[in-house]
Amino acid sequence: METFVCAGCGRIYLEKSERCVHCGSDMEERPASGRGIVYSFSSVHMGAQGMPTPYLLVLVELEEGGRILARLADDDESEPSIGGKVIFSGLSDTGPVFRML
Amino acid sequence: MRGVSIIGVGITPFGVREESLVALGAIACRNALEDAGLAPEQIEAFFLGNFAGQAFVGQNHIAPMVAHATGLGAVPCTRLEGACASGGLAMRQGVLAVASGQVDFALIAGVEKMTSAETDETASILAAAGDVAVEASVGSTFPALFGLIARRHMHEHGTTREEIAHVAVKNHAHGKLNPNAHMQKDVTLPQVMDARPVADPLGLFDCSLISDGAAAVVLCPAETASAHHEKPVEVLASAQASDSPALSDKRDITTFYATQKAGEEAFSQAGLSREDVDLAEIHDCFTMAEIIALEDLGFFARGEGGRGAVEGMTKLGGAMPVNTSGGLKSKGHPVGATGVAQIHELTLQLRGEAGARQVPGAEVGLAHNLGGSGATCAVHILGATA
Repeated sequence: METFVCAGCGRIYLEKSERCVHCGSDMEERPASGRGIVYSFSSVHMGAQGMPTPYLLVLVELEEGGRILARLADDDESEPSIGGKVIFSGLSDTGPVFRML
Repeated sequence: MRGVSIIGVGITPFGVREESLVALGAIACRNALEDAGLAPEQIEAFFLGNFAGQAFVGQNHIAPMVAHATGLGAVPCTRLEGACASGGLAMRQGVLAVASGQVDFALIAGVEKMTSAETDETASILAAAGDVAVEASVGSTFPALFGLIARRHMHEHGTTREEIAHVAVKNHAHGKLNPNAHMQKDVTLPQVMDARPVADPLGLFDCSLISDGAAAVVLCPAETASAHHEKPVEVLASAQASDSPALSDKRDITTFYATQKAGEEAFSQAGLSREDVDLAEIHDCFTMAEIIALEDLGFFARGEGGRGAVEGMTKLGGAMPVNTSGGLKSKGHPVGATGVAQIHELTLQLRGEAGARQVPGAEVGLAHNLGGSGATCAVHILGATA
């Protein structure tokens, strides 16, 4: 898993950009294991426009530090829990996707 | 800086309204001017809170339109946008304009018209109050963000589903007594607990209402207020603070830093302590949000906020009733109007004009208005005339 970390505010991105869209500082490439733990999660039943429900949102704390909001893979039927281990499985139209380990 | 007082308030009933966005704003403004006994041409500055006129009804630039419909003439008109705290920001700008001596009479209003959009469209419009690049694009709606927050609060502090649900029961019991509330009826604990899930652990009755409505306030210098109203209400504090909206940027998502900062600043300005507050209007966009705000403002220790509604401290008749208006939960949440409507409710209470929901002898009231997932917060403290 490749991440890009802002040298200024520490924000983590999964896609490369010139500068941090949050604070404008330079970005540094940082390889990540893709492993993390569930910091919180919510199953969304009434969703955003054009997004079929239900889907599971997970706020993931990465092993290397920092958190990102992601989806749990649609075909992952395991019951998430706070502190549960997850691994990055790729980027979709709706951003990062993780699986429970 | 000189003291500032409220000499007039106005509101429209909240709910599904036929009137246009601009008409709603003008109705509330005229009601407030009538309450203050002022003619429109006496107003010297106008501040309007509105979140998403363009997205909801296709109209931006509404401050001069509401001013024109109210008959204010050529006065400076400024629209403030701070998501769900837009009304609180408008109030603060009005307070600063009068406190600085720049103007003697300022009119503040907040308005939103939301019910003409479909529910999923509304969810997407509201989601833009968060960080779209890292949240809405992933599918987070506001109920989802507060679902994540609630789950973490339950995990860290042992807050229970029942405690969270009790906030809805309480605020509906209050809103039932408010003739301007959107949903004037009780809900039971089982109704809240067993409601259709929206973003678990939050269900339908944990979410505030999608409403149309407007509210307005007239301000003048405290030293001349009694010439305009027999019961002026003094603005004892007007504070505002900010934070990053994205949950992934927050060290701890069970607290809102902007609320803590604005709260501390407000109590410092007013020279009061938490025990001095007789009632509060708290931003209950979701049931969980009221519990967190009670903790962030220092009324309860961290993790103890859930006790408020369960044990009755925050109910009418309790030590510090919270959301006597019904709150966003039952009175309704026309986003841009909410912060001003909170000031409307406190003003009625501090004048002793709140009818069936009156808090006896209320002298100090606090209004807490939160924007998005905590990126903006406005806190006002108001005091009755001795």
